[in-house]
Amino acid sequence: MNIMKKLFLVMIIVLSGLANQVQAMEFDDLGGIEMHGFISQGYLQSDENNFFADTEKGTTQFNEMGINFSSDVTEKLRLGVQFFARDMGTIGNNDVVLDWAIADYRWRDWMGVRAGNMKWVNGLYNESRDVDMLRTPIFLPQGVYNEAWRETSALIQGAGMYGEIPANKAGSFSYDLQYGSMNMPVTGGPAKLLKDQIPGGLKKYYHITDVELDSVNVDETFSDSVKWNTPLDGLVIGGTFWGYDFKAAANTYIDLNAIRSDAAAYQQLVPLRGVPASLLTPTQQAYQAALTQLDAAGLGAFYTDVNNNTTSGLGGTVTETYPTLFQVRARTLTGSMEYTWRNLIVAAEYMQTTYNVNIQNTIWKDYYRTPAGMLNVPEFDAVGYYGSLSYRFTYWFELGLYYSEYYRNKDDKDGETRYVNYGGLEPKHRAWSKDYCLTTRFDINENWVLKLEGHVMNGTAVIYGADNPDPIGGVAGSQYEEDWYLGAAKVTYSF
Amino acid sequence: MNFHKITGLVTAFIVGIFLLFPCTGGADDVVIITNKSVSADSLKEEDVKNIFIGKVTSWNDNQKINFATLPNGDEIHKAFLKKFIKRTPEQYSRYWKKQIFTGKSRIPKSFQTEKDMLEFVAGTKGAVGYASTSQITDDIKVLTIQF
Repeated sequence: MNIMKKLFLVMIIVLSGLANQVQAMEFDDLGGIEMHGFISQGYLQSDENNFFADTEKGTTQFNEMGINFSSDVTEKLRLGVQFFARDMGTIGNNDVVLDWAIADYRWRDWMGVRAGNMKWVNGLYNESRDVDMLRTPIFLPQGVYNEAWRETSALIQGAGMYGEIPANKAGSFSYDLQYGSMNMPVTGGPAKLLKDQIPGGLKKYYHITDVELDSVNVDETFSDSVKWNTPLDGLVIGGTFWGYDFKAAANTYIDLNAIRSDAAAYQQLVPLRGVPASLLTPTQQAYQAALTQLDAAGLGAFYTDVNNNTTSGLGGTVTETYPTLFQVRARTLTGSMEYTWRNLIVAAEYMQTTYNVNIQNTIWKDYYRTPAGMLNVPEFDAVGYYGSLSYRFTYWFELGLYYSEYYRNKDDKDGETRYVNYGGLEPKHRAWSKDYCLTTRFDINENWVLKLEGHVMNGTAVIYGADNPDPIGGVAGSQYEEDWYLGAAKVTYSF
Repeated sequence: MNFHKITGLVTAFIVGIFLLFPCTGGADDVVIITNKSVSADSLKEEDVKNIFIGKVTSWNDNQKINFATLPNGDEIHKAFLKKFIKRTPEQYSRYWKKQIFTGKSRIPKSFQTEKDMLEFVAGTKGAVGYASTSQITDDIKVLTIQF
């Protein structure tokens, strides 16, 4: 932990003690500046698969902390800022970042404007997902609140409008419109996800050994959200349309010797083309079948180019680095429902994201036979949904459960197509994730919260390949287990 | 786990809740009080809720609303939330924590005793709060609520 991280931790601890003293006084005595903070520490353990950290061994690299200050400058203008740090495996690493930082001018109740770093509005809980004590479970349902995108979908840097419009007997409508850009750290979750976007077949035939994200340029980000506070007290129905466009530059490491070796092997098979099977030994027949498969995959022409030294970029000798450009466009619709009746809260949400992904690398233009080596990944829709229940039995104990499903591609829920496209390198269950969660929350007092929860998981779509890199016995895909369990514990102090 | 097992688990969860933890009633003799500068004499129930969750911030004459609350353990606070906001103290507290930790609002002014609340409402322009009927004095105004 470097000096900045230590200072931030000490600051939160000292100020939390100070805040408890100050609460006995008027905050106005501090010049009207209000201060709040939180610090959470968790533990994760899974029996199989690493869930965003080294969870198979058990890990304490699972924490968050934040501190905020705000002040009413005038009756209508408010300024506020929050600093935040988190750690989850290789994500965050407790680096202190500027979280939300806003100027909020509330002209009328039906229209206000905000500018700066705003919490990204999506569905019921995205704005508050960094703050553990604001919800019942430790992990929000991954079908809609995918942990992989958390750091990226946390903030929008720009401006927005919001307000509350009464509708008499129809209840009221709350709206939030946000537009701007977003921060996408190259060492974070999206970087790991982009590595997973390169088709496994390409990784296999091009012997791609690694992909390192170099820079990200976000063109635009927006979120438009409406919530209908229905006449039935406690029932809220909402919809969010949000999206982003970005370009990411990466370095791709390719083992050229391995490609040349494959091409040379292919050359040995070429004489078998067109020979009647009756003239071949069983072994030769197997080689001929392999030749047919390689030709069908378009590799025949590519390997011929390699053997003839007419490929565009294979000039190196051993492992070479080639620049790769990712272009990603995502558009998402989220439908939400939450019903609160006394101590019971029922919620359900559905989210569908349409992705357009282009991956460009001149090195593989010979394989794809496209100008500039552009790979246009066919448009696909990722979908997720969940239903949840929570009930507070006493002022200190709450129990919750939810069931969540997520599919990388709604047209390939069983993963059959993906399995073929990835050259069999990843199991079919990388296409989906199903999660049964039972969770408990103990409010020890106003400041302390303890949570314990368990997940019964089926499928591995929501975990990173980068966190599970080592195949067992060298068998591709064997590092992933379809059925697994995840346990989590977390304690939070807030003031 | 098949669909029937999930359905059974959820059903057992809900039935268990109501068998083991029946909801209890609370005091109802709580009224909405304001500073005498407030021109309104009555409010709809929905207006009260919107004021105390920060969605309505000014009176009809554009005077700023200064609302105040009592702490979570207070019986008047519990009765007020049940009657007007339809939320438990824990839900109301979590709602406001969400506002302050997402940068959307500041925390409501809170007083430890009903007496402090009454003094604040009596002495602050645009102020609104709540109190038990037995505590009403002449220097505050009691609003009529339309349910």
